[in-house]
Amino acid sequence: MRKNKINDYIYEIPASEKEGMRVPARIFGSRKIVQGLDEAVYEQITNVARLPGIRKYACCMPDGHSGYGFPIGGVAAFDLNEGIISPGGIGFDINCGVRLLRTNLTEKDVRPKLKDLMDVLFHTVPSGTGKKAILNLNQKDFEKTLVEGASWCKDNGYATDNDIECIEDRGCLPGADPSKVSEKAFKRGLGQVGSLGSGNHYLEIQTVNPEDIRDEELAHKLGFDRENQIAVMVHCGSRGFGHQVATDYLVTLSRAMKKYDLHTRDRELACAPFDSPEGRDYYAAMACAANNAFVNRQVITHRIREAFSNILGISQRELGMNLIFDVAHNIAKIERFKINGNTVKLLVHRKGSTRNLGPSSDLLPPKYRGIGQPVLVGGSMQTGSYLLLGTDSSEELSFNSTVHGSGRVMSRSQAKKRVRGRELFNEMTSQGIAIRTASFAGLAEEAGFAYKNLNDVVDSVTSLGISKPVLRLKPIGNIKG
Amino acid sequence: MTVSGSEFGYRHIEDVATSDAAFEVKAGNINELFMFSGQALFSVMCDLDKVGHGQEIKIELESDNLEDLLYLYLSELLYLKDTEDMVFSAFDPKIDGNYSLSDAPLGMKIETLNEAPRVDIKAVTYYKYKVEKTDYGYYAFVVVDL
Repeated sequence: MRKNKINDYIYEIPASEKEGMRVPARIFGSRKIVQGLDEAVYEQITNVARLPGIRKYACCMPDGHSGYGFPIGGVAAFDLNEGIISPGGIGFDINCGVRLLRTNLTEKDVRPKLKDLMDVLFHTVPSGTGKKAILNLNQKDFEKTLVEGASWCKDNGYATDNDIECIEDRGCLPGADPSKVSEKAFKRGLGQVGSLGSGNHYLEIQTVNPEDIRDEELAHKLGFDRENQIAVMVHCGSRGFGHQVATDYLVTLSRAMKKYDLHTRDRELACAPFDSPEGRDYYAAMACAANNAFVNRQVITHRIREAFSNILGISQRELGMNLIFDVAHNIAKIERFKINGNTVKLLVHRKGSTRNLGPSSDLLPPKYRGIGQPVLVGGSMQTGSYLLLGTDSSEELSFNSTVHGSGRVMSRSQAKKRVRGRELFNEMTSQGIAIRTASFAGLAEEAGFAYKNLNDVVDSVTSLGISKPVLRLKPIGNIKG
Repeated sequence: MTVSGSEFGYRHIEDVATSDAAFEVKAGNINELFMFSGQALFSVMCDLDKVGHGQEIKIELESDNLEDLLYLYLSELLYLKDTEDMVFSAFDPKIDGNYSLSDAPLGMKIETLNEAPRVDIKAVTYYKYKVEKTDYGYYAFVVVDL
């Protein structure tokens, strides 16, 4: 497929390249990254560029790789009247996302108690497959969580004011309507509120070493003010509830396509006009799942604070475990963008991509105005993660979107062929990373070499000018979902 | 080569979607197509020979075509995985001419497995999804989201 180089970090597939493309597709990344993408990414992003009502470009971020429907790393924004909504542009794990907590602790404080801490966290934060949860909610309270999102957590003692302020959209996507959610989704979600799930989900204890700080002033402003400071990162989503909402509406929207005379090259791109009964219903149900995921990460946070406080024998005040930010990376939302000098509202789909507001955005919590939105880029459990900040130029270039992780380059089965779980466990232990996992085979699938080099990914968004690196976080303890 | 040891059975296909899993199924008849698909689905998560047959759950489904019926069947099994906290290893689906399905898969509670599932399956996707009648019987191709 023909790719025109716009600059060193933007490659464009013209709309003439595939029949039916309404806009060009843009791939962001260095030459090395773009050359390393599998061909399916180009097929998938150009299929996205064919969808009705798409505006400007279909984008793929530097951490992109092939997925289904949209590629992972895909971003596309649609007109609210002429455009569509597609579950394949969001993913089954609705509002899968990452949050980062800072602490007043240093590695010296935590190392001697790390084993105990990991054991307690592994036993008190449910992970892996099945019906396990921190909260045992009745149907009525569960419904409330779907509508109120993180503010339900605050009302019930699981969140602070700062937590709410530091969650994307204050932890509540408006428009959630539980009446648009199936009985099956309710049954699947009820037993899983407060659980990590499986795959690449994790709870990680991390350190920020002096050599990993890229911008000391910004790091200080964000609360990273001591050497080898401890942070905690949580990566998970809406669990079975979101998976069921997506499954239900994939079928519904697939059937509705005939009615609206919609045609896609990939059935996973099943969609409906956003302004249609089916489109509005899916949005209302998807918003429930997004709020469910915000609650999930918040409840886990509450449990983490308890565990640290108990094991280290210090008060939560002394612990200073404050939320830096919580970002979604599988979601669709109505956001405002300036296009050709006009401000327009569009439905932006981000699948494996993170919102990334610049310092001048009025949507930022007051403490981040003038700095930019914290963006969390979860790397592999072996190689670490990044804290970035959004820039104002991201609005023009990428619909206020940036990367979400390092991006897989190797399938799970290939990874398992290269290393055995036990071998990787020993290797990570010798690197000073404590691991807790329910499955060693599952651990092997998440080996560091199965992912792109995170520095390459971050360098691409930095050079492109859409995000600014602040610091890198290295794992010292990982509870693998 | 298929897992059943004959020309019929299921086979895992690598590198279709980088972070997910795919399998294909070849079957001599429609009931086998569903049976092998159920086995393929749970073999992504665990070794089937380590999953006992101590518990049974009844399934009744209807659709108006074969493609949708298989999607509903596999999705139903994933729903039961989460709500009943079970994995399954033995399937005996019966499909009639009107695309009605009944089955009572056998399996065990996840917490009673000797080894935890290596990965969870979130959902069945429509990506490259295919169910077709062939000269030997039936063929299906399925990508699941992990």
